[in-house]
Parts: sequence; C-alpha cells; structure tokens
Amino acid sequence: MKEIRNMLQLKNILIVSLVVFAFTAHAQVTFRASAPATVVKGQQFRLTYTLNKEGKDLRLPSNMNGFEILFGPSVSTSYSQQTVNGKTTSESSVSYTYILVADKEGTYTIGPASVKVDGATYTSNSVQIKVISEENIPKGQSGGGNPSTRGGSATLSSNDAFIRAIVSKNNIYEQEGFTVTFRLYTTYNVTDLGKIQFPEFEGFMVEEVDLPANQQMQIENFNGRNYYTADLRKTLLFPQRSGKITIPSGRIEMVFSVPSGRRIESFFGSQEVMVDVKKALVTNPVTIDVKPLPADKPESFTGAVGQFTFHPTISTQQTRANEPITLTLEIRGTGNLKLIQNPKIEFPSNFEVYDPTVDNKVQITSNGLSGTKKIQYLVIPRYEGKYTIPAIEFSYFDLSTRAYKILKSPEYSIEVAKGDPSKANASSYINQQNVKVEDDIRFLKIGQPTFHSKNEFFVGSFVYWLWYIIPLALFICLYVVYRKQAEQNANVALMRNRQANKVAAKRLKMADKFLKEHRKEEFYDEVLRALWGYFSDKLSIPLAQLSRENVGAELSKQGVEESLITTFMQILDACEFARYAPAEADHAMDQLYDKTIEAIGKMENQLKTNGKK
Amino acid sequence: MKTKSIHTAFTILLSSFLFFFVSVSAQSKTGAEAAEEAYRVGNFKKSIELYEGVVAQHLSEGKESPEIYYNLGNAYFRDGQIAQAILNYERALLLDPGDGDIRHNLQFARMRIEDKIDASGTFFLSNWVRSVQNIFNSNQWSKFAIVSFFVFLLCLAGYLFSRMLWLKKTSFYVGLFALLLTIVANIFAFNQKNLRLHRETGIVMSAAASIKTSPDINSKEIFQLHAGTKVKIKGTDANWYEIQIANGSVGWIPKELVEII
Repeated sequence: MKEIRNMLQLKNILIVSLVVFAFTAHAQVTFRASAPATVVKGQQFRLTYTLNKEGKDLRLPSNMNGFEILFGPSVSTSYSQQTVNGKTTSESSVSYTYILVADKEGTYTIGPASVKVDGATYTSNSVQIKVISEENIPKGQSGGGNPSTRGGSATLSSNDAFIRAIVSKNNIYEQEGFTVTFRLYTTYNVTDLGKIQFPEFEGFMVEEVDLPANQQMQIENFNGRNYYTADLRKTLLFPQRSGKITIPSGRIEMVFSVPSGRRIESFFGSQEVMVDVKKALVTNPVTIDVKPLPADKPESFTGAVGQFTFHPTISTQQTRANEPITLTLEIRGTGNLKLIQNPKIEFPSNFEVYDPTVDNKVQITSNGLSGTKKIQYLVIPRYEGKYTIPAIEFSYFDLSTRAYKILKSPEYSIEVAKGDPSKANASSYINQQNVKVEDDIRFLKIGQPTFHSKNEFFVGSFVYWLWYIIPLALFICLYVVYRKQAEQNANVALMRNRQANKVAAKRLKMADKFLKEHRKEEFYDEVLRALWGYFSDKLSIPLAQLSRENVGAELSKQGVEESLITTFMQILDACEFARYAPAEADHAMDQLYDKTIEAIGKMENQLKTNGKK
Repeated sequence: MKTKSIHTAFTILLSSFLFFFVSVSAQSKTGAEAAEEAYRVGNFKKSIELYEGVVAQHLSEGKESPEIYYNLGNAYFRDGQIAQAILNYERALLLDPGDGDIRHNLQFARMRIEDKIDASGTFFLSNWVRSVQNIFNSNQWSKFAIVSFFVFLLCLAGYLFSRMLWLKKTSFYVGLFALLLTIVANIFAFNQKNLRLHRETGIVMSAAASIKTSPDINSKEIFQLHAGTKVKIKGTDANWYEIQIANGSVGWIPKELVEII
C-alpha cells in the first residue's frame, strides 16, 4: 500500500505540463471522465478527464456536492506516433486530473463536464461514485502513515484475505439463469498466483462471463472493513435439475506481500520490510435451492425459461415444385436461449426437410443469455398442390409471471405450382422412398357384428353329418342304377352280336328264295339288307349311321383283314350296281350269294380268333 | 320321404336362425353403436363400459362376436390397459382366426407389454400347419369340407361314368385331392371347435405376478410375469393354475391373476 502511495506522489510531481504539439486533426472528438467506482470516505482519489484533442475552457459540473477538490487540474499530454508499412498515424490526448476527497458516505454522481474544442462545446459522461465508510476496526496497514502494530510475525489471518463466491439469486427455477462471482478480498498486495482450482459446477449449464483483461482493484466495505477487491471469475449458470444443488468450494493459492514487522532505515525514512506469504484461499460452498417448473407444461414446451418473443417468417407462400422455401423462426429475449430446443414443425409429408440451421447471437447478462436465436428451416416441396403448415407453437416459462406462455405462428398455406420438369430432372435423382410401416392399431370394425354361438358348432352336428350322408347315399343309388343299366345294355349288344350271324343267314335264306324265283331286284335288296344289318349288329353302330366309309374304318379297327374288307366292299358295290342294271345272268347272282356267305363265315372266324387273342 | 323330413327340419332351422339374427340386431343397436360413438369422440372409458355391457349381454345368451371383442380391445388399448386389450383381441381372434385387423392389433399391443419371451423353437411344419388352420374358424372349415366333399363326389362320378380317358384321369386326381382336403378341413374344423370349447390359454392380468414352483404361496419363485403375457394352462389345483409360457418354462400362478381367453 505504501508503495502505491509513493508512486502516486511521484507521478504528481512529474505531471508538470509536458506539452507536445499535435499536428493531426481527428474528426472525432472524445471527452471522457473516469474515476474509481468506490472510494473510502476521507481518502483522496483522482478524477480524470481525457480529451483526444487540444481543448480549452474546461468547466467542471457546478454541483460537486459530497466531494471536495483538493488539487487540480493538472494537465498532461501524451502523444504517440506509429509507423506501419510506411504509413504514419499519430494520436494525442490531453488529460486533466483533479484530486478529490469525499466527505460523506453514500452514492454520488458527478455530472458531465464541458470543454471547448475549436469553438464547439463537448460534454463528458457522468460518473457515479460510491463512498464507503472508513474501517471500523483500526488497522495499521490501511494508512500509509500509520505505524504497524504488528509484531515480528508475518502471518495472514482469514480476515485479511479471502475469496467469496457471490450468487446473484439463491432461490430459482429450473433453467433460470443466475451468476456466480468469485471475488477476492484482500488488504495486502498480491504478488503471485499459485494453483487455481475453481469448483465444478455439477448440475448446471455454464457460460463464462468475460471479465476485463486488466481490471482495477475496487474498494469494498465488507463486514466493516475496507478491502481491495477483484473479480477472479464470473459465470452464468443454468440449473439443469431441481432440488438443492451445492456448488462446492474452490481453492486458490496466492502469494501476498505482508509486512514482517522489521523496520529498516532508508533514504525515504524508516520503512517496514515486506515478506511474501503463500496462502491457500478456500471459497465458501454455496447451496442453491432450485424449484422445479410447474407441472402443467404445454405440449409444445421444450425447456425455454425466461422472457421471449417469437417471430416466425416464411420466405414465400407461392412457389413451384422443387424450389426451396425458407421458414425462419426467431426467438428473441432473455433466458436460457442456447438451451431452447427447436420447436416442432409438422411439414407436409412430401416436403423434403433439411436439418435446420441454428444461429445464436447472444450476450451474457446476469439474468441469462439475451439476444436472438434464429432457426432456419430449408424445405423443398417436391410435388405441386396446396399444402398447409399448421401453426407452429413456441411455449416458454415466463419468470416474471411464473406461468407458461404459448406463442403461435399463423398457419401457413402454401401453393406449389408445377415445377419445371427439366429442372427437376437435372437437379434431382429418383429416390425411392420406403413407405412407413403402420405404427398404430387399426380402427374399429364398423357395421353389424357377426355372432357365434359359444357352445354350439356346425361341425359334428346332426345337420353337418347329413350333408355328407345324403349326397353319398344319392350317389350310391345313382351308381347302382347306372351299373344295372350298363349291364343290361351290355347284354343286348352281346346278344345282337351273337345273333348277327343267324339274322344274316335268315336274310340270306330269303335272298336264296328270291334267287330261285329269279326276282332280281328283291334278291339284291335282301343281300344288301342282310349285310348292313350284320354290320350294324356286329359293330354296335345304329343302322342309320352306317356308311361305306365308317364300316371300312370300323372293320379294320376290329382287326379284320384288308382283303376281306375289300371283298365286302366289292359285294356292296356289286349289289348297288346290279340293282339298277338292266339284266343279269342267274349265275352272277349265284356267285354273289356264295361269295357273301363265304365272306360272313370268314369274318366270323376272324373275329373269333381276334377275341380269343 | 326322408328328404322331405330333412327339408322341413332345414326350414325350421333357417327360420329360427333368421329370427335369432333379427332379435339380436335389434338389441345390439343401442349398446354397440353408443360405444362406437364414445370411442370416436375419445371417451374410451365410456366406450369400454358400453362394450363390456354388450359382451356380457350376449354371453348370457351364449353368443360372442369377434367384432365386439376387437372394438373393446381397441378401446382398452387407447385407454392404456394393454393387458385387457390383448385379452379381448385374443378372444376376437379365437372366433375369427383369419382376420388381419385383429392379428395386426394384437401384435401391436404385444409389443407394448413388459415381458419379452423368446419362443422355444417349434418345428416349422407344425407352425405352418397351425397358420393354415388359423385361416378359417370352425364353421368356415366345416363349410369348406362340405364343398370339397361335393367336389370329390363330382369327380368320382366323372371317373366312373365318363368314357373319355382324359376326363377319367383328371377326375381321378382332382377327386383324390378333394377327398384329402375334406379330411384335412374336417380335422381343422374339429380342432378349432376344441380350441373354443376347451380354452387352455390365459392372459396375466396383474401388473406383476410371481410364478412359483408349486401351488403354494410359500414356495420358491421361479420367475416373474407381467400384465399382458399369454400363458398356456396345463392344469389346475385348488386356486392355482399350472402354466407354461412360450419358452417352455412351467410354474404355478394364483387363479385370480390370470384371465382365461
């Protein structure tokens, strides 16, 4: 502490108007006020106004209540010139420094100051300063002039330096964001850092909050003592489950510069010797009470907690087949933006849907992530027609009203015109799609139900057997009748066959009688009749169906010799011819008669031998 | 004389059947249709109640309907009572074993139960025969048998009375086949009848049931079954069933935990 104070005094001496002329003329004029955020009552601090041009007539705000100006302004000018690749840029700035002291505790605002640059007036920002009380416990090391009351020991009590884990909220809902800050409180200078071991955040989604790279030490009054503080780590946490979740303690080793109690005489006077003390600081464990989200979740709830607005847009509602449509869902607001799952959209089944692209533009705030989440769906309708995309629902748990809210997009109706076939052929290949397997039960059976008797069955019943017995009985009767008939028929044929010879002989006897009486026509008629009748009986062919041809064919089938058949044919021809011939000798008739008897006899023999075979 | 008496018997039978049918349809109109209406609007509990009423009413008359069982099964399924749904689908299937809808819904419901039992290997031919037998129910098979018997008689006539050789040949083979069909169809018809008369399968209805080594509450537990599993009942002893599950394991279960299909 003493060193810092020495440096400050040295600086004050050095700032004795070091004026450098600046040639450059910047278009932009910046005029900024800066002061520490927290000061201790009765202690000096600096208020600095920085201007990047040369100005004049700096006027402080008229109302500076709560502060007393001890010294100032001291003006310092800095100039820097840079040459990069032969191009020279230069910057200059002027800073006006006042040294103030606060009289009372409280929070004060120093209003904007004004300055004139080239005739124009610029005003600075206003600065808020918190003034804290002096320490209650008088401590030697807080003031530069106070002599140390310590003895020779160079130790560090847990009150001198510690790390607190500060949570922004203790009692929260699942998925509600809150911050944990690990803040170092120290009354000594930190000279070195050892092993750093922050606790694991189990059960949380963690977002690191970026801290400024070189932050100034702030002064904070804690438990009646003023400490220099610095934030070591700040994280935004989203609890992923409900219940009491404990953040365990972390452990950080630090080396502090602690007065040893020995004094040495030096040029500047009597000084205390500082020694380095290594100490492990353990953070306090923190228990967070996480409430579960209420049970009446809407169906479309996908875990969004916070405060959001929903902005769905569609690129076009009238398109042609195979031309893409972009559906953009923008969720804006504060909450667990990154953890929100994409709302479900039921696209028509023959739209080709690509995986959505999700773009998170978020800033980390102490309440959660705020910004926008942009979900873009690219869909390509493959076939023409009218389609509708049902209203897309986005629901979230509103932390301010502690209730679920449902936001809905309009229902989009899309008209798809016939696409350019050449384009379709060029850009898409035919891909066969599997028809989905049915994955639900089928619908009710509609219509009159059929009824089955529980204990009575057709099979085995009396009627059932009748269905077999009656047709079978009928069939057997039919068969018996048929057999008898067939038997009788067979007998008749046999008889006729057997008697054919006798009948023929009888007929020929008649012919013989006509021959003796020289009745030529009757003779031939009788011979013909005898022959045809014989064939009819023998071959079982009705008389009317007999002809020269089928007799010949049938005879040869029965195995009658070819020469005999010819003889028969000759006889038939002769008879037919002689019937109409004018005259015929008796001996020719005799001859024909003998020939016929002989042929029939021969045939009888042949048929007998064939039958025996 | 004989044919005449059969004829009169037939007409009596037919008319009584017709009367039956008319009276039944008049009664079922209110119950079944109201149940269907309740199902359509999503009031499955009400639908179940109404269908159960229809079933009970017809059972008291000694009749069952596969469609009513199937619809009742659907209502149970939608209401989340899978075991009851399976029981009713099984009952429907017993009455109409060839129905594809019933089979599909039963299979779908079976995927929702807890027990997964690997069926012990059965000979493919017996599976094949069983699946053929399940094409028709008893009455359908018996009608099929009669038709094939008539075909057989026709072919016999063709064989005996025809003079043409090709007709004789075809009649012989077709007739032989028809005779075989008649015999097989009769076997199937009687089998189906027996399946319905002696119902030897059941569905586990309690959420969890422990299967014991003997019909005694203090005996050792062999395995556990859950609601919806089909078991074959091999025997009974007082208040216990001896059951066998698809993988061949046998054990005893209290009667009240099982519902006979």
